[in-house]
Amino acid sequence: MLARCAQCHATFTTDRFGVQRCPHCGAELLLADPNAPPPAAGESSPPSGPGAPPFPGPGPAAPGGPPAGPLGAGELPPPPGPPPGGYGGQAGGWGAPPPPPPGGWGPPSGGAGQPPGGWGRPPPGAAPGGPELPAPFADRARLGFASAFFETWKLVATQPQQFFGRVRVDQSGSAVLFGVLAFTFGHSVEQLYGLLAGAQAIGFLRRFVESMPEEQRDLLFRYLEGATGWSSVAQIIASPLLGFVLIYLLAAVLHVALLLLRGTPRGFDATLTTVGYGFGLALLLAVPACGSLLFAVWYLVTLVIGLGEAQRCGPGKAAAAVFAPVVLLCLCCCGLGALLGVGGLVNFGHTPSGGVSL
Amino acid sequence: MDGGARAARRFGHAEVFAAIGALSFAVARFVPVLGLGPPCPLRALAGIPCATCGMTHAFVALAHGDPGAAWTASPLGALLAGGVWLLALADLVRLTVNAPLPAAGPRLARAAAAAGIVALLANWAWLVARGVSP
Repeated sequence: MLARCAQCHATFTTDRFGVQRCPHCGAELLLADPNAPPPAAGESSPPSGPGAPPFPGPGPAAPGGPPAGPLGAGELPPPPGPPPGGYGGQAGGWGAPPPPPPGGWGPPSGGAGQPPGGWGRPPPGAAPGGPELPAPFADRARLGFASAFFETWKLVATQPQQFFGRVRVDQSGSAVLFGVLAFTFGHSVEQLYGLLAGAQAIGFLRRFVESMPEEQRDLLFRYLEGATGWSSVAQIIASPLLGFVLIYLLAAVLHVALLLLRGTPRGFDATLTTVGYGFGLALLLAVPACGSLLFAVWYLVTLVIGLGEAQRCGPGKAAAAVFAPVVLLCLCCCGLGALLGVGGLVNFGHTPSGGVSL
Repeated sequence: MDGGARAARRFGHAEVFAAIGALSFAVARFVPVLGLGPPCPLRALAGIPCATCGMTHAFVALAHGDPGAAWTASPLGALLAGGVWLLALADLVRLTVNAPLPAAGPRLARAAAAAGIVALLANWAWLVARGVSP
């Protein structure tokens, strides 16, 4: 879960309730468990829950409140009262939740015990939309690089509709950086697999394609050899540049398609933001064997949802804009798969004598 | 406004695309891209050129100062290469003289995009009709 420090207003991830220390400023804060039973009368715990008396502050102890020790020589003064915004953001906790920082992001909007204005899933029945927020990755200086990166990845992968509907589109530099970093990692790992397992894969396939015509077989092996060996090393080295160029070119192609469909009310930045943050899914390329397929399918779905939300053009136009270039690409590349597949199937059944043995 | 902010404002999307265009010239001129990678799979297997067939040859030929060969390989590729490199040069000049970026209205942008699609299809039809690999 996400928590916000009342002292520095920074957010952080925690997996427990209770007293803990803010990782950003070191302040101690209490994160009350909303499901915990109310404290019994007479307990020396701070009052909580709706209708609880306000925190008494310095002075004599209130019934049920924290004991106020007598002031004596050399003793510390009693703790000050709560700040005007209260501690933490728990409903019925130590005070009123602090308002979210302007343009900031935080815990789920309107969720139990959470201040509004965050990235989380809205509660059932809540009105859709809300103010635009910078992506956590755009706020990485405050949140910490790794935490911001994975928070953003999680939002893009699991809540694309909400994320792209509310993310600010004037920070496309962060989106491009996010996509380039994810692509560099995923693509490099994918190429490493090719480098390590390429020779075995080619040897394995060689036995299965012996019945194919020589021309098709040569073409297949040229593709496979092109995806292994020195080509892999070169691609690993060039990954950041490749990712950067791919993001811009893909954004340009999609924007042209959206232009034709009159689906670009928010300009090129919105398209670039969607393509850039969506490219974060390239981390999936690091999954062995099925990573490319996983990435391709998930990315297409995310693009359709993301462009529809970020450009406010709806999923229909977004889907048309995404799939038109894909169809064009298929005209170039699917020929390979289709013809190789058909050729392989047809030739698989043929014996050298020309008869068919199915 | 300080110099950093001014520089940041000046290096926008147009400059990124101009840099990609300049990079494409460098690659076409100095990297032996024609020897890398397999041929077009559609043409190799079915004998039909794809919509972008010949573009690499066109870029490489034009980068080596041979517009005739570039045009033969792919008319659209030759025009695209020339246009992209001229855009990169123009943007460099614009930055040097600190001129504003010319803005195209949505109607003009849509017309240009439609013209691009039509050009791509016409180029494809020409490649298929010609049926000659570069």
